Amino acid sequence: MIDLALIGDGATLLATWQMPLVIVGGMLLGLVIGAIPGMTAALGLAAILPLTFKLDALTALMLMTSVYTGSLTGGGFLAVLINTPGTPGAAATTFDGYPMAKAGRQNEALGLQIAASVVGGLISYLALLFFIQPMADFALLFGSAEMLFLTIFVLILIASLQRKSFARTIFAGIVGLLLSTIGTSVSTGVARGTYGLDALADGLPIILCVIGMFAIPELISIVAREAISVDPGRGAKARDIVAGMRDGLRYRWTWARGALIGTFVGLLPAAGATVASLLSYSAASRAAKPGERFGEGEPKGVVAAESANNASEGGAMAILMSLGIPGSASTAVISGAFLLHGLVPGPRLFIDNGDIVYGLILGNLLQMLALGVFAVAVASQIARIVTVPSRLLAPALTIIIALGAYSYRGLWEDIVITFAFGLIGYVFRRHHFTLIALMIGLFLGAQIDEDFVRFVILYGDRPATLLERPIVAAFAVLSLALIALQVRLAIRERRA
Amino acid sequence: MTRPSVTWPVVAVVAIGLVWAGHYVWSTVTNPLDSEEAAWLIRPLLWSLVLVAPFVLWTAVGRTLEKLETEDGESLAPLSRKAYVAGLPLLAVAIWVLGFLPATLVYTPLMCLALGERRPVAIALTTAILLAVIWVGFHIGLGIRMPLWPRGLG
Repeated sequence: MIDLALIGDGATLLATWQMPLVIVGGMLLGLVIGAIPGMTAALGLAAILPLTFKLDALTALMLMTSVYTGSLTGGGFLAVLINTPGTPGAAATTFDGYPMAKAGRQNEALGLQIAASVVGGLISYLALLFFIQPMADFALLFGSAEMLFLTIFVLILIASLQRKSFARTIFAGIVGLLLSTIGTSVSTGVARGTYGLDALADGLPIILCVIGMFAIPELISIVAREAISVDPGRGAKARDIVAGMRDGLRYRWTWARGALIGTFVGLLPAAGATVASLLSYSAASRAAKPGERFGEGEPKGVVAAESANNASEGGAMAILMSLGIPGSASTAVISGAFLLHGLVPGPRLFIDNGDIVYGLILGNLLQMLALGVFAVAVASQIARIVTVPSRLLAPALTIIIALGAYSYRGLWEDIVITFAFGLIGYVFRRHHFTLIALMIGLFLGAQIDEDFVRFVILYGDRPATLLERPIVAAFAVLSLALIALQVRLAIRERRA
Repeated sequence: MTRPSVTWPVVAVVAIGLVWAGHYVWSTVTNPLDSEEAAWLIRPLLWSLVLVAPFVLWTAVGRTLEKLETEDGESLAPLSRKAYVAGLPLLAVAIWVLGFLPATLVYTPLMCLALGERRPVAIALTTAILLAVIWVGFHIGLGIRMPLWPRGLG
């Protein structure tokens, strides 16, 4: 299961003077990139990829993964400070992180988020070190039918978290799924819903839609207030962030559960971080003790979401290195870095370059420790954003969002799409069509579309055989149970 | 009774959603290419939407969400919100016509003023920082090719 000699070789490869430099530089760059609305980790990684030509393979990969780690955590800063998930995986962080920021507790929320990210990442890379093969086998259990039923289950799960708007949440999720299928169908080559626009031929730019529909409604909301925080006197204090980190470590069961969920659900391509953080948040809110108010600034909510979010990074790297499958745009760019340096991700990577792989895993464990320090430094500066007068902040962030949108594909239409989704997001949010459900639909729909075609070809004439697949049957039963529970609760409330 | 201002936007969202989804599926299945397979997922999604719509409308005309919807304080009534929303398409057009640098130079001070900022130094500083971020951060630092100036000049 684990080769100690290879781990020793990997550790030796790490002992160079360049290594601390690339970890620190990459981490800071990633944190800043993650904290810019509209800038994606994939874009940052693509921008620095040419810089790695002259570096040796391990140093180059360490730089890339440092940027990746930093950007995942930086994306969480936005979720806490302006209610905008910088990455889809940070969506669940907004549930409690932003209410804390609005109440002037942004430093505490950032501390909780950083601590949970560090712990989640550490646990997932430890799991990667010891269990990479079983993790890859687990991921292979998820075929097209399993992914389809997992998505249905997640949408119902989110709706059950938004009990008062259950129907609207399902409606938003279905609209998201439909929107995500716009563009050229992968299985048939037919262009759907593009209205002749070239910009839509490859489908909607999902991450820009997500940024638009979360950031713009928030900006519309804050322009009528003085600033984001109700307590502008408490801007950025590193000491408070560190205190928040200490608090975060107290919720042992919450982060341990989140890290485990994140590590294993993070293995699923496309869905990993988002589904993991939502499942972890859901598990934590269902285990809430009396007095814990999830959705209104409960610290455990931030810890649950972020520990799973960062733990998914280990899962994504496991699936990339062991099977050669990049689960996201970011890991696709990292996979490009592997190839650039003569390493082919997949089963033979461990046989041919085991020392580099274990060096990379050990280096990522070091990164997680460094993350704790550098994230506090960056967060304490970025946290000042909540005290900036909204009459200056809103125009500035709007320009930055437009820049990020344009940078994504170099298309002006992407700015229009981002702003349009901002207005859609505003209407949806104002009338309780849950944005998270819309986002999940958008994010998973394209994959589901492909899976569904495969599913119909394989099982179209005998759908009942699907239930013989244990994971499918489990998700089907859980989905029905959740719906039954909602109906029962609604009837009970009506009678009361 | 539920207030019309609470009910009608929900009805409008549902109606627009259904009309768009219906047209989307119709335009796909009537595509001259062999497109039956392209509609395998979107057709059941349309039917799911039709199935959920009555429940959504029921919550809108009933009183289920009335309290939430009248308390959230996010209406477009304040002038600053109207100005911000109106500024979005104007910014997009300005970037198309003028390029990023002139569009920022025009949009930022005007929007700051529209939102109530009256300190010239704060407005000038915000604009200058944004211009620097575009030029130094995005254009030079990240090497992103973007239209900085009006078409034909950059």
